[in-house]
Amino acid sequence: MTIRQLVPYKTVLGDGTVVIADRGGAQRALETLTLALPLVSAGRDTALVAPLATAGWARAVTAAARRAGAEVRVEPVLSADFVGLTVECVGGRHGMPVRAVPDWIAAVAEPWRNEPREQADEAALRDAKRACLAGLTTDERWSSGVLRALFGPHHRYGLVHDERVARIAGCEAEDLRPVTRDLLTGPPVVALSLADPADEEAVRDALATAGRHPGQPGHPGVLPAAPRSPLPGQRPVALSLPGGRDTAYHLLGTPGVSLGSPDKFAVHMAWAMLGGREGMFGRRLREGRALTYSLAAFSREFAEAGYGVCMAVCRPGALREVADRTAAVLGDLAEGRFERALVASAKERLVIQNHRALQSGRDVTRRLCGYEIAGLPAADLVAYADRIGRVTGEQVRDVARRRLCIDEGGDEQGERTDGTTGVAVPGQEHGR
Amino acid sequence: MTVLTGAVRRVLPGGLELVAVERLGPPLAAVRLRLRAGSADEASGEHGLAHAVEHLVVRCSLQGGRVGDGALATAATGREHTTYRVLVRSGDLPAAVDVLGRAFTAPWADERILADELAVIRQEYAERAGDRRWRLQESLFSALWRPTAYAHPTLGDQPVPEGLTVEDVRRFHAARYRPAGALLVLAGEVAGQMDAVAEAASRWALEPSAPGRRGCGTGPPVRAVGAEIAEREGLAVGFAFGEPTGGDDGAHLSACRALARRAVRAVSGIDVRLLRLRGQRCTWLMLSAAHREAAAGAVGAALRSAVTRLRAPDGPAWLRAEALIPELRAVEDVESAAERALELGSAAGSWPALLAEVRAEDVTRTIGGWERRLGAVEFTRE
Repeated sequence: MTIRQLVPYKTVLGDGTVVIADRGGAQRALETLTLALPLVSAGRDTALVAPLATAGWARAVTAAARRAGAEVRVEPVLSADFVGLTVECVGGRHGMPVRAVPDWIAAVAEPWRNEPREQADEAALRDAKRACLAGLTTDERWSSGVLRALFGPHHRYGLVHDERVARIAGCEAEDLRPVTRDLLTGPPVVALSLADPADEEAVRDALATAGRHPGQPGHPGVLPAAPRSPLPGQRPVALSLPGGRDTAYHLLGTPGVSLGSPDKFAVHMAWAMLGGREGMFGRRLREGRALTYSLAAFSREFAEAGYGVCMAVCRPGALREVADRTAAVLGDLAEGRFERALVASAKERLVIQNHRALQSGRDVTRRLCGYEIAGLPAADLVAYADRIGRVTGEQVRDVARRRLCIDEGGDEQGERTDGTTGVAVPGQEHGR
Repeated sequence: MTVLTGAVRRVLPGGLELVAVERLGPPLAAVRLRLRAGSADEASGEHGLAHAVEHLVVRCSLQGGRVGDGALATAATGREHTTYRVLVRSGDLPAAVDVLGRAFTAPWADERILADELAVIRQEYAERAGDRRWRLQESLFSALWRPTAYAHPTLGDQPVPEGLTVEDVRRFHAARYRPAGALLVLAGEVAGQMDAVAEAASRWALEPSAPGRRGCGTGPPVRAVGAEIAEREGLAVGFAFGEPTGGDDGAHLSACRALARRAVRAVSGIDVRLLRLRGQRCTWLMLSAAHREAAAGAVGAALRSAVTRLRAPDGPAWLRAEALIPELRAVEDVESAAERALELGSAAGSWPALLAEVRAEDVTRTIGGWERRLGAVEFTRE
């Protein structure tokens, strides 16, 4: 049997640090460690500036690893619920230097401690800013208006690209120290994908020995903390944006569910039935009318909440018709007016997508951290295909009725921007 | 490193080449069918035909391209090839091969279906034409390959081919969609399924070889060019050059180029892109700058700084951390493994070992070659 299965194994150290190892099957090309720090109870400014802090950590950990002779690649991790680092190395003789892991976490606590302070701070900050701003994705800038409308200006889920870029560009070294303190308040999560189980033990031993608060056996590990900013009440929102030459975007955003919601699987099914080339949006907008070519529809789930979004690129003159047809499709879903074959098709595509998203050690360790920080057992990740398989068409209809439909309370807004500002459409090739 | 455990190659009686890459990982299989049918095969006056045929093949021959209950095939038209792709669960590999094999069946489109599909293509063209980077890339290729059949965009040079008929579609399909010269790639847990796949593929039409390419002789001409288009602030500038592959375009050089791309991206963020054509390899890149000279300066500086980094005492270690590791991570992706096999054939099964053999000086030499070729280009402006 050559298929690699995900087999997560979790332990909680005395100081609350959670270590989760993927013990599944065959070796990977790389060994991977992801260190994650929750944002759930962090302040808004911390969430805004966290990408810059992580760029500094990546630099500090890279330097620490190289001083120790390790050939590792260190990349910042930034998600809506946590930030941190992923460390990768080629397996085999020069595998992960596991005994150094506590030093790396210490390097995170004080990113620039090993260099002369004044000028080193300035140069390091400049480098970190450059790396951070280059790495901030712009692929989904078009969804900024939807996120802000759904999550409001105060919650971290409502933070948008332009605001983050402006804050980071103006950030000083002294702004980063409280951010690091804020992020290091709670215990970290460490996820591993290593070739040798003995190395997992070595990581646990090293972390336990270096524990910040040793002697607290039975610590439950990371628990979902009370959010510092409450979520606003959510209502569906429809927006339009100018696109490139002779094109416009129609955007529809709906409230979603959290990663741990029992509705998550039905919501995934709903968006899988709506999206895709043969999905309900595609049929209503393309076939016979050719109103759009680029079309994206998906949901996202975070620790505290989620959202769904549909983006259709069309002629500016077709915006009204696209908006009407999109809303009508949601109505069809909520009334159960869909082909049963769509249900089976959506299940299959979601299972394939789930396998596809868990191919590398980096993918797996980051996902394990996300589940842990959302308070979910890693076993839920393994059980995804089974849970999707049990969703019925009726459950999809019900969840659409409760969560997706634009009713008279929905916001309909036109948002103007001054030209094409590099808004990126999800990539498609010259084909179907 | 045991993610890829090898690859095998067979040529079937009809001339179709089959490459299977065995890969450990989640239970997925990626299938690719690449046909020798591209925009360089179009006569003047029918630009965009290969792309229209691709749309109609998905809609009619593949009946939407659905495999079993769910996975959907996609397709893309290039200058020399049209490629049909699908990602399925391992157990659905035979069904996926069967669905892609229907591409050899002529699309049964009537005038109404053709009109429907042309309306979709018109919208697709409008979106591409609104994208500055797409326009810049096509300007570069046009300058690079003028006046050959490679010069026009794969989408055509107008929204849809003028006066296109169902008969044109059938004629192009009959001439170009042949097993001879086509390549079928399987990646995933495929070893036990090779015989069944080979048997199924052998039943596809056994036709004689497709005729030679129209108007492109031995391949596109070899030169270095630049192109630029105005952006809201400054310019988007592109640089490209072609070079003959000759007999030296082996798997080792592909590995050198892959790591060289990673190294340049690590120091500068600039993405050097590669396109392999018959008898030629095209190398190009695009960036934003205040003016043409600033762009040329930035490209030169990026390439030189990658070389400097590689020549430093810790250059080999830096190469492994910043280039080898991300490239090996991509090896874990089953679709990347399939794409690699389209380029390298069965040598794709040894890709991790090929990468590991590349030395810092090999990468330095590759980047030095790019710098020399990009140093003097002829410019065109949209």
